[in-house]
Amino acid sequence: MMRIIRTENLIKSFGRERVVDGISLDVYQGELFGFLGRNGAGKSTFINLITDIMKPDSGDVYLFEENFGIDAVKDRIGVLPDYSSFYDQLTGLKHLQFFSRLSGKPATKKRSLEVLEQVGLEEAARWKVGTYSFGMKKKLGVAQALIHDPELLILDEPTSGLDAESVIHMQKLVQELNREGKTIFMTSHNLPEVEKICSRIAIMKEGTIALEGSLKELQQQFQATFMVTIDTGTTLGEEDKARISRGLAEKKRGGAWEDGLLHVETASEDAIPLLVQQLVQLHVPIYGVSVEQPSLEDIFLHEPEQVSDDLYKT
Amino acid sequence: MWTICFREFRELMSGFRPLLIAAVLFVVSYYTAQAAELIPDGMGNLSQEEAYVAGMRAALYVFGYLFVFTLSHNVVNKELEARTIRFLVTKASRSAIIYGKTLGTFLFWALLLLLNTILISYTAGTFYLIDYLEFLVFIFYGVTAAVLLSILIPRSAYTMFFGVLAAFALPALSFWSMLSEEWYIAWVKFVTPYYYFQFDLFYMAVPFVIGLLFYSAADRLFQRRDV
Repeated sequence: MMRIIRTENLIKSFGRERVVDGISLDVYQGELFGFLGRNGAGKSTFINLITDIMKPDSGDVYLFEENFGIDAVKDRIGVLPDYSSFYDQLTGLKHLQFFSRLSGKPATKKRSLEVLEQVGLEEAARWKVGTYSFGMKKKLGVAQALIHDPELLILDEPTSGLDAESVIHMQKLVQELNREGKTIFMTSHNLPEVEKICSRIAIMKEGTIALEGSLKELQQQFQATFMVTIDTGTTLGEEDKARISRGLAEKKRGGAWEDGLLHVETASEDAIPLLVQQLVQLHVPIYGVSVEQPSLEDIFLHEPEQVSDDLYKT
Repeated sequence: MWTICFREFRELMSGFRPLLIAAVLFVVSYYTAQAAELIPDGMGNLSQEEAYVAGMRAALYVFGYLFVFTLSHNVVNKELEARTIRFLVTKASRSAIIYGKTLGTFLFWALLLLLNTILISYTAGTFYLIDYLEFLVFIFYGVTAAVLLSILIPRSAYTMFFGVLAAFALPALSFWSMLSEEWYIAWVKFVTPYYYFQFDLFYMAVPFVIGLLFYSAADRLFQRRDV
């Protein structure tokens, strides 16, 4: 599959502080890639480096596997940069027409109005941007990234500063654009949002990629064991419970009872069907099976040092 | 590139500034010629027709760079300060941005000077084509210097100060240099356009090339700049 974004050992320092510290990352065609990290982790700087806003101290950036530099592919990229602003005297509509011409793909008035409608700015199309609220400017930022119909969207916190309704609208728009075939690379502070919409995630810490993969892969990396809870109902007596526990012990498994719930720890996700099969053989009535998995929030909030080093890329 | 060029041009053309500048240039040119008429022997060896263009030249000498630096000292750094440049660099090449801004600014001046040249040509009854070309080179030098200054210094408050300083220093040092034999000042005349006005148009190639060097330096600096 085509690597739409590829960075090799990207380094950027401000003074003595190394903000991006040797990041090598691949983003493939069609992915909706979520980029997470605490404030100051270097997410925005990384985006600035791959979009020509900043120049790396060393390392390489390849977009669309192109070796001729970013200028050759700027018309294929839509970027919502961090800390950017518009021309206060121009209307939203004029902005889109200006930016589309700049991209070399002039948009008609109809197309510009369509894009403004997509982001929920149709009513403010002819207002001067100086009168826009922060959230409206954010929407216009997304609109200008979309106006020339790019193949790759790089969005730095597209939902921050938006009201709840607009957040949901924006998330749906991002998902829809991804379904249409656009590759999307986005940062966010909203963990449930990333968990909900992104197909692959990277967590940045102190200038490096601490974790990378799909949510499932991150959960597997993060989680050493799986806690399976079997609901056996309320019919089992103490003798039955003891018999089942002995049966599990023979299969070299441990189990703990909590009323009618049996908690069993397994080493891998693959062992769960086997466990259920064993319980059926032991004539355990099964009313329900649940597997406790860490959320993205659990993974994000967990200090990387607390997880074994081999789980981390760097 | 053209999008940025036209935007820069339109921005400079908006408001009263172009009218004011054109008026100043024309009034100085016109009244210099009128004054020449009142002097019994004219202005040196100048004919009445030449007096008009000499007036315009004098106006450019005195006010030209002051106008250029006042209007365009922040041609790039205003966008750096406002962070509007971030949208530009993600959509167009950095070279296209510098080229567009330089060309847009230059076209504004080219048009103003053309209008003024046409006005005085009409009054004098002859068209000053060669002089117009010399004015273009003179202004090109100032525009590229302003673009370079605007990239070298990221704060527009500082470029305003240094721009005005340069606008006064350039003619003052140039004329001092043209009148002096002292080694520490004599070389200045060779790197500013004033000295070359007294020769054929061909010699204006020198300030034009210096302008190109300014432009090239601005482009190279901007290629490496974090925005």
